[in-house]
Amino acid sequence: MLRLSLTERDIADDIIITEDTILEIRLSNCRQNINVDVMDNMCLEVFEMDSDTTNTINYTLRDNAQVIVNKIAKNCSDVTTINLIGDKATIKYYSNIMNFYDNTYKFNVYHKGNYSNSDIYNYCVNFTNSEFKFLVNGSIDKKAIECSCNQDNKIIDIGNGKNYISPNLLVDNNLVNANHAAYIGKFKKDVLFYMKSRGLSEKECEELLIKGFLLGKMNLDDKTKEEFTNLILSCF
Amino acid sequence: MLKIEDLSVKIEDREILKHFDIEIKDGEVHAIMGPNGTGKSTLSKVIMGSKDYEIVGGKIIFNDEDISNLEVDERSRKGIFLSMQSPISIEGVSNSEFLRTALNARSSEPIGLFDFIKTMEENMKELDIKNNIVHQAINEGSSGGERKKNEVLQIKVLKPSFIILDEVDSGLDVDSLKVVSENINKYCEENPKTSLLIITHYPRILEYIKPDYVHMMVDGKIVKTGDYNLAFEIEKTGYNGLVSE
Repeated sequence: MLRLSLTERDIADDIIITEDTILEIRLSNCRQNINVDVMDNMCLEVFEMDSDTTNTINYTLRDNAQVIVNKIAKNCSDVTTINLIGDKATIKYYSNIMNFYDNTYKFNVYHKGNYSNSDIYNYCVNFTNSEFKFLVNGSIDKKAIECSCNQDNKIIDIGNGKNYISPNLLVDNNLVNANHAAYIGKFKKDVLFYMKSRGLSEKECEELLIKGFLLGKMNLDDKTKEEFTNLILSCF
Repeated sequence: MLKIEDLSVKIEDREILKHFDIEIKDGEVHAIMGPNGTGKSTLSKVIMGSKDYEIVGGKIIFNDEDISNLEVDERSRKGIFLSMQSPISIEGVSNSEFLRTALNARSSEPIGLFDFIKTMEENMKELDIKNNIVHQAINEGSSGGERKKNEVLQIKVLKPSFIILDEVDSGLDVDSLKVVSENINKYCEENPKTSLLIITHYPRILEYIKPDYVHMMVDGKIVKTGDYNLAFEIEKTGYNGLVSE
């Protein structure tokens, strides 16, 4: 499997995936336009670790392209757009954000291919009293039949921030499977009680819960998990 | 060990525990039985320090210290353990990470990875728990019985001196109840100063873990205390029958 690496020093407006690829993205303090075009029948797995970014990232998936994105970011105002133009194109996208300043994260998914599938997980922990917004649009074209478009959006509020989620589904076809969910709140009281009843302090509970919340859904190798964990721990 | 004096507790405007008294000495096993909604689980959570309830009178003394105002985690680190009626699942937090953090929280020296794995393996074997639970999120996808065994695993690893078993027998099949009870008995044999407070609806668990005292609790207070035989009397006569006596 081909392994590619991209940092803010690389100028890479267009990345064309013509064989199965692992793409590592590390971006810091930057505003970039990145286009990733995944050709027919190709698999792409992305591990992305960012801090303080305002990037525009576009993924285009052609027939039967399969993409998994594992992303962790500290302060992110990115605009991510997924174009599922091919039939049976499939994407799983895990965005995990740690927020300290006012930020808006925009996410758009366009289903144009038949039987295309998107599962989008947008999770954020807002550590301060700043404002954080998830603006998420899932759009299914009139001509795209039997698509599946799912989005799960959650913000855990640690520091009494102003949090906002707009989970939109724009469906122009009768034969679809579409779900959207949004949750804004604190960690549940009964969870904290359970953990504290085993001797963990409030801070220790929060650290474990935040790590679990942000990393729990992704399937990471040990090295990547350690790297992602270190970014999370830098927030405490 | 634990002494509760004249404890009254309310939630919102409803008084649940009413001038409740109990004294549990080192190494004693007490059982509390009572009808639904009488305050048994409230008692267990109040001992553990839940903020859902307001103490309006009385105090909780643990090892000669008034712990009524201590935080939940402080009480735990002093040796109190509540095995919950319905242990919750926690997404993304693995059993090993959780228990290792809990062990380190009560020790001045962090436990080494090798010692931790060895402790876990020994105790999981005794409880007939599969090894892969270590890396799984706490109670995620576990049956009621597996959750109760996990509670006992936590007891064996964290080594508390005062254990509250809140309906540990609910959701357990006969074989699992036997395994759980044997492990608790073994723990108490190895740590003879450990005291137990068993909250239950049924005398069956008391056949496995023999109590020194059985208390009948009705409407927020203990109305009758006896020995092991009281549990069977309750089962035979019912709470109403004994109260009307």
